[in-house]
Amino acid sequence: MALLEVDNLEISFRTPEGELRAVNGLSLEVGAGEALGVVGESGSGKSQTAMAIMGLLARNATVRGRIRFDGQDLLGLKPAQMNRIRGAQIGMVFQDPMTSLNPYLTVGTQMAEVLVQHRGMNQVAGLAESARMLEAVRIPDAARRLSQYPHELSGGMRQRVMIAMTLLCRPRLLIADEPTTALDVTVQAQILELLGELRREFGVAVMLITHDLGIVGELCERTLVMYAGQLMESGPTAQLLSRPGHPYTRGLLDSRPALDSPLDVPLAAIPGTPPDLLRLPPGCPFQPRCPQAFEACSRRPAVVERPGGVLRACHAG
Amino acid sequence: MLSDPLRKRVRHGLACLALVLAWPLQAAGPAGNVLRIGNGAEPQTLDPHKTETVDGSRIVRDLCEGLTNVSPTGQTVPGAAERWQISPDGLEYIFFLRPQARWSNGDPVVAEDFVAGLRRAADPKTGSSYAQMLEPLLNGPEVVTGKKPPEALGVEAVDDHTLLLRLRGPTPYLLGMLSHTTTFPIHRPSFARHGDQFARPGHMVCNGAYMLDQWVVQSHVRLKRNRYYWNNANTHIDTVVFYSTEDVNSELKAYRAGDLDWATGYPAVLTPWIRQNLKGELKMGPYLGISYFGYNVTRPPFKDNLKLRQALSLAIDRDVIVDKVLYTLSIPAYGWIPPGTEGVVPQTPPEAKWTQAQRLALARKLYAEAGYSQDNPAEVEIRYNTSENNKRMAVVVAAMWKQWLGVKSTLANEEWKVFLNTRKLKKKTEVFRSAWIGDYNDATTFLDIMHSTHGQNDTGWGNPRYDALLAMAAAETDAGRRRAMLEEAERILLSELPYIPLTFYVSKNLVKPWVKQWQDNILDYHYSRDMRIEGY
Amino acid sequence: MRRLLASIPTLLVLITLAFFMMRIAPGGPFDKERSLLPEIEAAINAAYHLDEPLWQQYLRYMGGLARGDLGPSFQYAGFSVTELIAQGFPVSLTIGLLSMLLALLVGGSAGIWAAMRQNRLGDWSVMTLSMAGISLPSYVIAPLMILLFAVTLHWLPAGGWEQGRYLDMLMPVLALALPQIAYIARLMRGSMIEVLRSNFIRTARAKGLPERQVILRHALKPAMMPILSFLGPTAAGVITGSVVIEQIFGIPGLGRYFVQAAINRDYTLVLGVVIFYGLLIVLFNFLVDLLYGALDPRVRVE
Repeated sequence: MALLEVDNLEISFRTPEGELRAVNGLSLEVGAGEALGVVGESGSGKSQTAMAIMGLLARNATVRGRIRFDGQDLLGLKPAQMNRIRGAQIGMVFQDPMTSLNPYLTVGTQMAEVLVQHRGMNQVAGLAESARMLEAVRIPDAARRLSQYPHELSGGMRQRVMIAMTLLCRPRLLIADEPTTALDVTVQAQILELLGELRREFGVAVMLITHDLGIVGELCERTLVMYAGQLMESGPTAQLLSRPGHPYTRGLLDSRPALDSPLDVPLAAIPGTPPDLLRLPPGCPFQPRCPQAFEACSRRPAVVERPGGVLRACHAG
Repeated sequence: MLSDPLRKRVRHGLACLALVLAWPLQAAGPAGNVLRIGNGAEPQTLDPHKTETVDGSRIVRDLCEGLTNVSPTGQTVPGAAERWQISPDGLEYIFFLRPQARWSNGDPVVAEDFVAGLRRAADPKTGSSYAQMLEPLLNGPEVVTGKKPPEALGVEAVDDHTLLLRLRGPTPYLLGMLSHTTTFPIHRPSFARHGDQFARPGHMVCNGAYMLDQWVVQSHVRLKRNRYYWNNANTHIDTVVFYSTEDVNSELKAYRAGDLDWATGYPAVLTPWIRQNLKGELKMGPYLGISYFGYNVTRPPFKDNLKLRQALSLAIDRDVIVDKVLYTLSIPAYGWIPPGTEGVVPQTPPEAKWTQAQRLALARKLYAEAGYSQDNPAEVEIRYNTSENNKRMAVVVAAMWKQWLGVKSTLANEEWKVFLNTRKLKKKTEVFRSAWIGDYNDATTFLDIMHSTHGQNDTGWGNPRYDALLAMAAAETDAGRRRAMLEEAERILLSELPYIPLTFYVSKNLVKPWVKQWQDNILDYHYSRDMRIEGY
Repeated sequence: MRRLLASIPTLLVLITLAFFMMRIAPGGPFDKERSLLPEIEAAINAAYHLDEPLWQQYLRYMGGLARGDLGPSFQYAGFSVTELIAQGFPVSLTIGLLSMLLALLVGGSAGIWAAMRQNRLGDWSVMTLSMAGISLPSYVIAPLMILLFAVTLHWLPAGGWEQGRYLDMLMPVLALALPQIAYIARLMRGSMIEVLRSNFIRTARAKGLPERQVILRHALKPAMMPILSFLGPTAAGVITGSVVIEQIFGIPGLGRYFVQAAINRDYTLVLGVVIFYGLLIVLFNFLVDLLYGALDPRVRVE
């Protein structure tokens, strides 16, 4: 049994314009200690999946399907019960480190309260443990940092603090939603390296959500590609990157600019725009933009297992 | 159905609730041997020689005592002086002071105290607005205008308990005047020590039935019994508290809630309600005051225009005004001197007895004779100081003139001080609102202000015979002849009509039933020492 | 500190403007219905230096001010302006502070409660009540309260101020607090809704903190900021007394002086309360700045 099992997840939002289908039947698994990359463009539903796992969806959301964590069904839990799991068993790191920390509280206060809440520690013990964790995320002069305020730290340092904060209770699963998007490239690399090391050190499973197919290679054994709230392809990362089977995955890979690509050749982009989630077509959502689309694609393709541990939802391959 | 234990608890609960709700309701009754008065505006000073307002004077009269007092029915009776002698020519008064009279610190009250008091009041440096009242004394006018020193005033201490007053002319109202706060004595050592600040708690030494205990500005003035008062044995009430009640609505609520025993003001519009619901508590009586509209006779349209002045006056239905505008808190006025004033029989012109229809007929006739008509209406400005009541009065009068004569009126209101200024200048006014409350109970307090040189006379009217009559009356010793002169003066005034008489004032007070020995009188003087609280 | 010093010129301008504007109004403190003899009027004017040329009176006043002397009251002969302010201010201060405290507690809680139930019945009812509280003027509410609690039920005195008895304070404080409660509730609701949308609140929730702690520890401080801005000048106004409340309940505070003194042309008293009020505004703005710094570490002066 995997640590995290998501079964046919459907998330829709009641809006004045109608029902918005953000996630349409997504299933995934994360094993203990494993790292899964979840890749998709904006609006693909990847962040909403994470929010559903954490129980942080907006009030106008409807969720169907099943989410099981360590055998326990998360969707049916009461708020108090979910609070015990959030922050202690499952941690989440968000995209924007500049605004994700409370500017009115010291770093130490924000960190220690997690331990006070979930482990029943007193403030002093909590601060001590927080200092140790700050060292673990390679922040120098940890004790001084505890009494500083977020605005006194750089973006990269703040993200490290966020990561440290989520690891305080040694969660089994760490969800990182675009953790490096707001950081510059060199810091990006550092953070990814850090995540890898921490995963080995603490044995925590990682779900890395990103739009950038390029960064999953370092960290994640397996990767999942989403489009319009549905699974397109998933499998071992190396395989996906070298021999993408799904036209969308191929399109993503092709559209990445490389350092050595010729300057006068225009960037290859996937033609068209993502679908309107209020009015999803019944067939494959990628059909309007797919170079390999044919009649069958007006029916939604089933997720089919392929050799090598690959799952693919495509009529063409 | 409720189970037995629950029912029991519900019963207990209801009983407690009833107790809680009912407990404070027994709050209707006196609050001990204390008189709590809703006194109106904050008194600006308790200095007897400087107090000018009704509210301030009310407090001062409980604190200090003059040579004479006013009885509950309005008569002049002995005060600090137990008896007096008047010379045959009426120019010398000898007062014999009570030997047992004491100041609130035990010092005896002596004649020198009165001498000091009168001299101080007359001294222009004191700045008393009532200094003019002392003009009947010998050298009065000269002292009051600073031409002679205060020592020249015709007052002398013959010995410790004998006081001599010398007058310029026979002044029949002198005894009544000596109950006015301006003539009160001062405690000389206190005055020497504190100067103009002698009238404050902690400083003030006084010779009345009560002494000053506490003055919280804008809240209250508290008086407590003065044990050294010569008549302390007959003072029933121990403590008097004068509450500053600027808002008459709140004052009435406080009275109804039982927080006040005597309210001096209430919203006039509620008079019918009060008559019905607080029966017996509303005390009303004739009062020494007149409300009128003055005519500026120095400029058109009223200059040399007697017929227009008479017409406009006749066209006003005073009964409607008293009933609807003033809620019956007044008496219609057709003359000048209020009924009940001593020294004369006030004149009642014939139209006072006519019906309004008859008055209107004469008004129309005079209006036409003055040269006005529907096509050529009179245009008149009514000016008043900003207040809801004044506005209503002006609006009603203007409406009457418009409807019955066709007069076109404009209304102008100004803030109080600005209005006073405008009135005095006489450059803009045509019809202006005014009122006068007498200082003492004698006709001259009303007739004097229409003297051609009187500062209060904003009409600009003067009549040599009128002025002469007043001068002669001041020198006349015979009561009958004096009366005749004053009555003739009033007749002249009414025949030339430099003003429109509107209403005579009525004193109005709300008094709780447990306040005993209350009497209405024309001066509306109610000394706390004359009253008692039931049960004490 | 620099800020405080910079406000001195402002105050000076304020005083000078007030001084001369008062004199422009026609009528003087000693104009009465009963006209004074010219000699007496002259004596009074001399005693109060009203016969001197205006600029000289101004200099005389400023000189006295430098010595801390606000002059004698023209209307309340025998009392100095300092005395009157010293008597009246503690009363206004007490009622003002209590009402603000009440407003912060009740209004703040109501606003938070409404924000947590945004667009649902709880929110709607709080907002409707607060609209009523803002719209109903105090000169309507106060007499109604007196009518109910004093006249009909006899639970409370109808007014007056017996040396600061608690019973006397109840209704005035409540009447004064009601519009403030309403205002603060709306402010807090809006501010809290804004704050609850923040990313750091999302983080706090993701940490599994109970909602109460999220609100009180994480959201409250940032949500308080707009209320602080509102409170600064409001505090100065409230603690110098509400004219309406003081008049209706017969409270001997400063509020009545503002209006009465102007009507009576009591020049020194008007100037005295104007200066006092100006000082308080400066003081409270300074306090608000300090509080900003105390609350928001990003604003703190190094």
